[in-house]
Amino acid sequence: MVEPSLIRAAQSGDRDALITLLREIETHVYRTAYYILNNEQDAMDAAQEALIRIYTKINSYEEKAQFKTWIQRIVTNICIDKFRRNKPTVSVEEHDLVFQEKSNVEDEVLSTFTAQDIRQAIEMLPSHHRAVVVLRYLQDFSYNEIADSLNLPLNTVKSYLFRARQQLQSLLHEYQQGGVRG
Amino acid sequence: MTCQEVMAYMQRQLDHDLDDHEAEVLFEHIRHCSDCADTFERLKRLSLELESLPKVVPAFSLVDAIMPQLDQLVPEVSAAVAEPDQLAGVDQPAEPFVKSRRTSRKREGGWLRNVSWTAFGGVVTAGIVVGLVLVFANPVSPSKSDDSAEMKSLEMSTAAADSTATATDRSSDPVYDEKVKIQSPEVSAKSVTKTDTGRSTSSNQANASDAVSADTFTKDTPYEDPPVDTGVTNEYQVAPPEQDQNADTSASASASDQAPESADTAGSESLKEDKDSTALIAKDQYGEPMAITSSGASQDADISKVLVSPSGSLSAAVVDQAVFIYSVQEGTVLLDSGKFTGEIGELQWSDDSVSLFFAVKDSEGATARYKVDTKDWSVTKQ
Repeated sequence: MVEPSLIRAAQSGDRDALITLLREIETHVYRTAYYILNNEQDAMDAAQEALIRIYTKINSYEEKAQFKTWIQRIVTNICIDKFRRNKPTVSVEEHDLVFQEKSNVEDEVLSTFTAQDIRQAIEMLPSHHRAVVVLRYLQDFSYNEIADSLNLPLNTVKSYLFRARQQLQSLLHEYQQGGVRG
Repeated sequence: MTCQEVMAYMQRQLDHDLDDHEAEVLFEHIRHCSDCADTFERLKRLSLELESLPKVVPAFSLVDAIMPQLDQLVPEVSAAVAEPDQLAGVDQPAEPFVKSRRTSRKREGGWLRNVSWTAFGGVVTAGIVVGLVLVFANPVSPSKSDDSAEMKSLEMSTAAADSTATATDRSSDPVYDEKVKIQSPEVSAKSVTKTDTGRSTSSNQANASDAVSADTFTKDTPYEDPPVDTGVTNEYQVAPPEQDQNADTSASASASDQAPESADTAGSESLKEDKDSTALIAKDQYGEPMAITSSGASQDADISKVLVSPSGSLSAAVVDQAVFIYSVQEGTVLLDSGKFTGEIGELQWSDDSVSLFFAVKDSEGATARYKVDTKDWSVTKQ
């Protein structure tokens, strides 16, 4: 991912290196924020906050850890924090909205509609389950890398991921069947 | 292999976590179990969709967007690094941070001369603190070349002073070091004065004053960095009464090393210019000449002109005939209006915290009004 020499240069006071470093990682930081918060503006805010924090705390990164898990830890912490403070889980009204759209769906819309389903479904996951899914699928992290980022035991990571997939599957199964809930 | 156990295998398979043997067991099971085969298919489809989620990118460069903030910030030095590095790594933004903390935290309604050192709403107070701290800190790479000679001699005298020091602030050097950056030579000149005083007068007076000021301090409003305040109080109170003695005692001090002497000389010289420039300031504000002590007090008057914005994120203060605006959270200076000739007052934030208004009264009594726009940091005459 990021060149170790760039990180070292940034840590030794080379401000240009530090800025370059930030530019290299900003997309990854944003992407995680986007899928955890499911909202572009919130994601921009959280990502900027994370980048500033990475800038400020660059010297606290220790080479023995992976840089990518270190930065993901920072952004997920910020997101989970925001998440806790702002959004509740998806409201019933939003849920209904999905079904209304579904009744008007055209064939070619179906594929994007499915994606929306997934995102809606992800949004219904608890924050830590969501974070695990995002790191697994948007960052291609291994179980260990996820564990490092979220500071969770390995077994917990597996348990969250497996559970999340089961939940998503059942949610999507219902979407796809067009089932009415409750 | 039960269906339940196979579930875990299926999940792990999605993450390529099965070894060859386990994979074989899995496929063997679903070959004969249609339910599990269905479940596996659905899981695979879900996993594929998750993998297909768009790799979104930000609409514009986030780094560009935060550049202004980054310009105000300095990366924190890790805890493992020693003091000197901390000093080197921290410059202006950190110090105003401390200042604004004081500013926003505490604002004495009135003007308390005796406890002026604890009225940390004063940015200038912090500035003086910094200068004082300089004495007891281990200054490293000073940003001002004209101070470097002074500083170097200070370093040596500091070492001496430290060993005899009674003030509790010694231990909090890093805190002080952060505030070292400082504005005017006059401030560090003051600190030189203090050093000399502290050293030459040694135990008695210094201790007495320390005791007094320590008491004064502790009685007062709680402040996050007591050592800092105590230190400040000690230093400052010690100096003024002993300025006269300073020249004599330091001259006659039989210092074994050259440093103290050169520091004294430097101190005396800068003390002089320090007095002049300080007196100048004092005069402008109150129309009558004042000693350094008083100027400190007069600068306290500025303390009362600290104003936090309604949003709570900005803080405005009048420092040395200029208007400063600080970010409360970051503690960084966002605006330095530059000096005005006249008394600044009538600081007022707009309700939306976007504008700051103030008035400058010149010596003839004419009042000019200005507005600061916090969006572009412009200062326009109204």
